[in-house]
Amino acid sequence: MTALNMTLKRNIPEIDAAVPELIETATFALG
Amino acid sequence: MKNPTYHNLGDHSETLQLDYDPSIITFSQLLDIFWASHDPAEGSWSRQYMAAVFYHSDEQRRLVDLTVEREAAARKREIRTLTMPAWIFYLAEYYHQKHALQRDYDLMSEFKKMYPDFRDIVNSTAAARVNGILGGFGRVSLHGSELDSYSLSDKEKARLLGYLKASH
Repeated sequence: MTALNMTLKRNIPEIDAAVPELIETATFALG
Repeated sequence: MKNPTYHNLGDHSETLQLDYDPSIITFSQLLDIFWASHDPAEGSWSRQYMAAVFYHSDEQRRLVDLTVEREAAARKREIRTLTMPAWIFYLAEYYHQKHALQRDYDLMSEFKKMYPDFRDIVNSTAAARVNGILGGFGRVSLHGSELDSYSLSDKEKARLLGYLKASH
């Protein structure tokens, strides 16, 4: 589903609909 | 131990996990923020509140090792922050999530209308941004121009702008 379709389908924030194609994950513990 | 909770943590540690767009911010930049955000020579007093970086790939491990050497040289002290492979990440209970946002009734009401399922609020970039702004970490220069993209009412946008201006 494209970001545009997601926006139309649900009233979600524009910033959430703009899902990047490539996402990486990082994990930290800061004490 | 599986499915730890705040009151039954076992050998787990309080940890943050973030999904990021490497075309906008790199792992090296995140590491710089990580090292600047704590004293890595201090060591940890407990498993719950230890300092550690959990790598997700060989490349991340390489970058972590490089920066451990760099930090040790710069600080002239042994680095006691741990480097470990990432394993299963368990979400904290919902009452620990988006803490500042959950204490703000009006903003939380607007997010609940957009996201009836709280899991979607946990995963929302907009909710994360608003939570940070309420916590005093927003900046007009960084977040002022993106307030419209949060899909909030004019009243709440104006209130958030007030928080941004107060953070300077």
